[in-house]
Amino acid sequence: MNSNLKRRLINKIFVALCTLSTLLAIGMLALILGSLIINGAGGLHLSVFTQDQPSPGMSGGLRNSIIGSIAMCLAAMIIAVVLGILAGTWLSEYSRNSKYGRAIHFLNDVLLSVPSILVGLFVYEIMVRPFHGFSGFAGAVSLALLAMPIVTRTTEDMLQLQPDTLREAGMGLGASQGLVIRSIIWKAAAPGLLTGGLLGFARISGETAPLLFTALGNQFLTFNMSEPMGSLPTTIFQFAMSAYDDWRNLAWVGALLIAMAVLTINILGRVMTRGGKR
Amino acid sequence: MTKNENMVEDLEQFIAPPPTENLNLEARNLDFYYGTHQTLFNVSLPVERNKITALIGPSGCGKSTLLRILNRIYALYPQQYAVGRVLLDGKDILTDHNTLSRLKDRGDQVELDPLDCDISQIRARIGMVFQKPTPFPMSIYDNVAYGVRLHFNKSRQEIDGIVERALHRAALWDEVKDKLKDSGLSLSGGQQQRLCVARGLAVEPEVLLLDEPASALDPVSTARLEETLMELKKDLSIVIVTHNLQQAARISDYTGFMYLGNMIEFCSTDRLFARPKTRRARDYLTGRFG
Ligand SMILES: Nc1ncnc2c1ncn2[C@@H]1O[C@H](COP(=O)(O)OP(=O)(O)OP(=O)(O)O)[C@@H](O)[C@H]1O
Ligand SMILES: [Mg+2]
Repeated sequence: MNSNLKRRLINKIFVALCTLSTLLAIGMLALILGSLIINGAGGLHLSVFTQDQPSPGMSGGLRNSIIGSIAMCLAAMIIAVVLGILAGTWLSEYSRNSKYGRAIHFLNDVLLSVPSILVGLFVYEIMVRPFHGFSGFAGAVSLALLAMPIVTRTTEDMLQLQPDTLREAGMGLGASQGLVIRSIIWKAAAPGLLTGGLLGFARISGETAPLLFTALGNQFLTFNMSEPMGSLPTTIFQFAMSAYDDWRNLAWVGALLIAMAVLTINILGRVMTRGGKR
Repeated sequence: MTKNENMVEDLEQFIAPPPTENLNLEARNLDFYYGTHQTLFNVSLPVERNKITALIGPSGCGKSTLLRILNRIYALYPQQYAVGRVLLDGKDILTDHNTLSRLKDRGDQVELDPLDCDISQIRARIGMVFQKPTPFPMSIYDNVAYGVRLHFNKSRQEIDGIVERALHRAALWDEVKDKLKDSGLSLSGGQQQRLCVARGLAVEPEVLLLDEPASALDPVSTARLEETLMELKKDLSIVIVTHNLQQAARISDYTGFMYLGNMIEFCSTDRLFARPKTRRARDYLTGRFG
């Protein structure tokens, strides 16, 4: 009886703790989103998307930063997804139990937790200094370096979740290993691979430090990725710390935009993977 | 069937194979290793054409292992290897350069030419259905057409016909004919298993290997699958691993009883179930095992 009572009490406490921490996490999220909306939604006019970054005291928008962010994130994600999926596939399918495989798996895990400012400095050293100029390409590469280990790791994990019997069934019909991976395993793991991409995107969408060393920022609109390029995070960084109210308001709008973008892409991803399942 | 030096001393065996000229597939004197761990000892398995051959035996005795050698699925794993012969219509399909040297190490006379065809074609001729249904993540139609597109250069209409015929033969057509574009994963377990049978049949194999195909199925699905197999043996030879003795007795023509990696008794199913010769087979069939 007594031990039964004790067990139930412990159970109750445990459930209460779990609920509490969940509420805490959700509460934080609500607070952040709430303050973003309160401070940012008011400034969300059409001009934000049609006008470029203003000088202090002038009216303006975030067009150059938005375009820059989209261009660099897109380029970074293309690089990260292609390389990450190939690397993850190699790790999961071709190098299981091999020494090289284990070493690369470990190095990738190290890359996962490298501070982003180091990645920025690294790209600065290999792409900015030698060519004497900041550029959107350098920014994209630094973002790609941050997203790639996430895509690699998720790909590896998701492919390993696929049962060996599926591989055996494919090869049992006479398909080569490469064909089985491309036509069966990738398809079966598609929702997981997409999740990897989303996680990678979420990681880089708000990155500021590496962009400061590589794309630098640009107050004018440019589509040329070999020039310095503006981006939402660097503009927020610049504006939020300024003394001008207009700039600080635009910084809030920019932060809201990033949060909305991450949210939208995540929801789209969920809907797409659910649609594909059945 | 006479080479006995690898066998355990007290091994009581009884082997009554079908006549050699009717053999479609034959495993001869197979040893098998998972790395350094040997799991099959000098096992032979004759598979008569257009007959169902059942493999029974306690868990872990090597039934799946034997099946996995027959279409060389084990070769996906570099540390696993087989030594011995597998003959498809009298031609060796197991011997590559690796096994050849191991055969010579073992002192075997190697007198047969290795069959001159690649592993992809071998696997097309020897289909396999696994214990757990393994539909591919694509439509029912594409599942069945997968192997066809791989091995044959057929037009759209021809593939349509092949898919329909394969689904008919696997007794699944009526249930899926209106939803061929649906995902194979949307079917029930029993339907998925018959889909896998259809997928194997679509490439017109000569031999179909089934590893406990009914273990995840309810009695109705099991009965349908058994009917299907009885129908199919008109066109091909079947090897089925089963834990269900009644099933083996119902559908098979020959039965092999395995124990601890050895083929203990192999003869016609009627004879094995009526008068098992060896003590171990007798004990197993009467449930006095331990
Ligand atoms: N991947 C593996 N690595 C090492 N040993 C294995 C592996 N798979 C099976 N074995 C061993 O090989 C032996 C035969 O296994 P096998 O799967 O062929 O048995 P089985 O007769 O099919 O059993 P069951 O009826 O339980 O399916 C067992 O002793 C098992 O432990
Ligand atoms: Mg088994």
